[in-house]
Amino acid sequence: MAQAAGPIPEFVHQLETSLRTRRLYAPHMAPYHEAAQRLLERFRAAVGSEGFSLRLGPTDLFHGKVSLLHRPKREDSFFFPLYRDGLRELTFTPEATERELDALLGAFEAEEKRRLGPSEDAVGFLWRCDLQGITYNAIDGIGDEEVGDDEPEAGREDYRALVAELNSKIQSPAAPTTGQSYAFVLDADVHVSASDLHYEATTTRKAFEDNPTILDLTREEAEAVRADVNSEDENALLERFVAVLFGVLTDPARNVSEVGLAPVFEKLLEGYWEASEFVSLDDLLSRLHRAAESAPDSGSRLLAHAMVTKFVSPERIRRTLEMVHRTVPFAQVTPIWDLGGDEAWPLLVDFLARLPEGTLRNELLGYLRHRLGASPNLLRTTLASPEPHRIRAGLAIVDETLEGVYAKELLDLAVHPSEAIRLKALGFAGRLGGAPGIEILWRAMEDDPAKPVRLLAFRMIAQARVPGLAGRLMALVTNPAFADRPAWEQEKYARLLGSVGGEAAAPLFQSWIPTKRWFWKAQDYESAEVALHGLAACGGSSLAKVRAHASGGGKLGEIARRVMESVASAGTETGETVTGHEPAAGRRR
Amino acid sequence: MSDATPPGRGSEKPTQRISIDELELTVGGEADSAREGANAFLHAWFQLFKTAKIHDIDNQALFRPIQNFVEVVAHTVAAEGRISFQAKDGALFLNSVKLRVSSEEFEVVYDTCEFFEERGMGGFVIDGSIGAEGVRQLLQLLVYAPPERRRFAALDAELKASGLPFRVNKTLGTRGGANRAEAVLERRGYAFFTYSKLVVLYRGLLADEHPTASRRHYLTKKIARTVQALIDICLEDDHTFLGISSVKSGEAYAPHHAANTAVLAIALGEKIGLRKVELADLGMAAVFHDVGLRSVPAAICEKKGPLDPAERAIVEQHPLRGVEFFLTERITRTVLSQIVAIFDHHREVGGGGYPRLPRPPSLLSRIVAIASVYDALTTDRPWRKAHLPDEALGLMLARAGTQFDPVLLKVFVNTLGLYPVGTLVRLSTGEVGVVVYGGGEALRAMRPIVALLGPDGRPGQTVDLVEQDGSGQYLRTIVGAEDPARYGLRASALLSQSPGV
Repeated sequence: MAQAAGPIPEFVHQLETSLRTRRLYAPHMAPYHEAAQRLLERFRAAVGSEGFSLRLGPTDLFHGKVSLLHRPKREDSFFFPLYRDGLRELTFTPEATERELDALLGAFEAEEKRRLGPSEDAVGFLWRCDLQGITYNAIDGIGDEEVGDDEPEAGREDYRALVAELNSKIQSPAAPTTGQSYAFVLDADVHVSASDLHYEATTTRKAFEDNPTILDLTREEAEAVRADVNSEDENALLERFVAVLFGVLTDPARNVSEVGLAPVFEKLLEGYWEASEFVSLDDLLSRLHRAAESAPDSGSRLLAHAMVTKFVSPERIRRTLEMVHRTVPFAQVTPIWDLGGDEAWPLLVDFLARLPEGTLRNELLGYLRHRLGASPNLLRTTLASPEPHRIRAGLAIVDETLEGVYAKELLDLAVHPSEAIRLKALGFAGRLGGAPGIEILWRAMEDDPAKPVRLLAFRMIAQARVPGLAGRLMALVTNPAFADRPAWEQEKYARLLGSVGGEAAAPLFQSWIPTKRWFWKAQDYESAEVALHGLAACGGSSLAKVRAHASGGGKLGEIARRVMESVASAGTETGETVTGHEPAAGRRR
Repeated sequence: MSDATPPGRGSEKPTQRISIDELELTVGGEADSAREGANAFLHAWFQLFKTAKIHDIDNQALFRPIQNFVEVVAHTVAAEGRISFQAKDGALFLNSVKLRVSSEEFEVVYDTCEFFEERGMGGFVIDGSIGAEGVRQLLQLLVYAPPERRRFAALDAELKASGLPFRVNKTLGTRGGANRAEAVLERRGYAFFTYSKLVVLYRGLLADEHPTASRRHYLTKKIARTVQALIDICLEDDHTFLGISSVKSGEAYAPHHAANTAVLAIALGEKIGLRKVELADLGMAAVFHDVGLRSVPAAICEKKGPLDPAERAIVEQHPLRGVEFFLTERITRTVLSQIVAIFDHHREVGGGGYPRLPRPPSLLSRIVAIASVYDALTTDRPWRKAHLPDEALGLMLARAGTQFDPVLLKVFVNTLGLYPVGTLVRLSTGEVGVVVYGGGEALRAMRPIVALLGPDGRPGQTVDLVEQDGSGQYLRTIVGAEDPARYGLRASALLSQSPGV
């Protein structure tokens, strides 16, 4: 078929082209704008000063009797959905604006873009566009069709017939049945009193006659109405809808089935989630949580609880952890974590374990510590976890105020396979003090397989005021097995004994110094060095002896000089400073 | 992502920025499965006759289409009781519901319509299950018989003789010039006609205790279109528009009440400046405001005496039932408005009413409440006679500020006038007439235009009650309203015959 020429056909073809362009490009893109501009130009050329109409057929768009667009295949026909829903004619006037043209295109796209409600058709959508410069004629299939000679199938409703019947009944005249011929006739002698006590009592007529302004709106009332109309925006409507849902959920009679209510709540929650509307999401969740606790009906409580539990899943919490790490404010996700119950705790602890130092880590620590107030056992479980990273995270949570609460669990960690954890545990043991703490430190000092742990234990023991420490050390160093310990350890013990035991330990150390002058073996050198360290740690005259040896010659002098250098680099001449609760045996500075 | 400063937990009103459409609130899959079912029948039928046109009756290729058709028929008959498959003006209807077809399916529709047209039939009805042998028999008659025996009369006779639960229907009347026919209807007549549509459609919806999703969508869609038409009438001529709420029915109370409430609510909404789209939401909310009452036993709804506490408790559940009705839909802005208004419409501005909620009722529900109560007061009910319009307004004004929004009520009275359009009034001269134009401004509230009734009870000459004599005295004054039923008259009929103003 040859294409009709002229401004109106060109407009129609441009309409089709513009719709195609809109399918391919987003509104902010240049081709989209160009297509809209071209359409407007074609429209202005077509509409002129008189306007024009287009008639819709199932496969054609007509102007008068001429088909401007023939689209037998429905997938190619942009006007078919509107035709199918009843649109028969579109009239374009010169008053039509660009916005209205755009709205009309939106109506053509409505079905494809799923903008129609479940009970809305394309023509209804067009009506909602409220076009002034573009009018239309449409049928609705009810009552606006001429009934043919054939009767509709028996037994089924024919809405057209029902409408016609009711309409006829509504408008049909009925003869009056008064039996009083004068009822409607003006009788010159009949005048009805204008004063009717019955009506004065029961109607507003008298009030209005007394004061005709009672029905006038005051300026304030008019403004109140305007404010009311303008306040009912989409957000307000959504809030009301949520209030209605909760009204239904918490109704004592509760006759709304679960099937209807839960999916709506779930959709709301998901919608807020997808839009990252965490403030609204938190509010909705907290209200559901309250309903789960306080709704009058047990079924409602269960339903609300189920909805919260389903939404605040472990996977959801993991997603919040990714978000809070990047974008969402901390305070907006913690309500979700609160609702995750105890199941959320291990996820949060794992997250803490991965976090570097910084604000987020500090915030999370604060939050986790706050949660322990309600569920202290959570941390106990963490500290007993088989996962070292969880224990380390748990240890980070423990601050000075919590150490006493979790003393047992912390001390138990002193024998953990992980060296790092044992080190931490020793730190706690040292701060906790007392017999249990000291015992932990002593055992670590004596038996721990890792040198750093034993060194720490030595340091902490030295800092602690341990009653009877000198005696215990004396027993340890005089034990034959002491000689099997590595030299560095013997030295540590000797220095400790010296600093704790003072001059009382000096004879023992003196006895370790080899007396022979020649043929020293390696163990002689070690023994001498350990002894001199011990003597130096005793302080006083023993230290002087070591100094004297250092100024002398020979092997012993050499060793003594090394010992004095070591003492000097340690910064003290009397060994470790003493801290703790009881005075240690031996001299202290 | 939000860049707002995080509020204290639970201490701030949430700021919602998501749109209702973005929430994509969808509940239930019944709608999609229903549509799928209807189109499944179409496809089964299409496949059957298309294959039959190509192959002989004994050909193996027909085996599967026959089986498929048997199964689909059995399934549909089990679900809906019967199958009525009808073509009209290029569209296909299954059990009175128009099939929505995708652009890929329209060729199927076209071929089906052509099939029917060739045989002079409009469609067919299947009243029960039909086996494979029955389908073959059917094909023999519809497809393989000689052309002269495939015309309607012969087909009809053969099918009746065959004993199959299958009969053909004649072609329905075609639509032609309906728009032109409507165009010439009197403006008032058109308003009543549109009103009738609304009543019939809503009644159709109420008639089914468990309507299928497709039927519900069909009827609700048509109701929406009808409400839009009413709004157009209102915007064009609100006085004519208001007159149609004079239609009362004690027997078919529910659908008339729904329609009248919609009319009155739209009129009030238009007066306070709601836009067309908002009026559409209001109209739909008003139509469906009492849909929850379909779950309340008629014995309670129509009880003549006072309700006992248990019965009252059941009635007070109907707003929740109404909400439940809509929770099976994909929820759009319109549906949200309806849900909120349905829930709120018995909640009083003073805090009373039911159900209880801490926030005040919405604007739409306050409008619906006024419209609904006015219509109920002015309609005969089993437990009382109808109040006259001015009595009803007086009763409502006495409850302004407690039950009703006082400002909206004032606007409502202004809109209707003290003697609303359709009111039968007696004048100081002894004449009786029907109000044909009133309200809208203070003077008109008391002094409308009245069509006097002649000796035969028909409206005739119109008189304007603002007219005064030379000395400034009003020529006529309304003494009081009259009950049309007392004279066997119908207000709507009076109005429809009255001269236009």
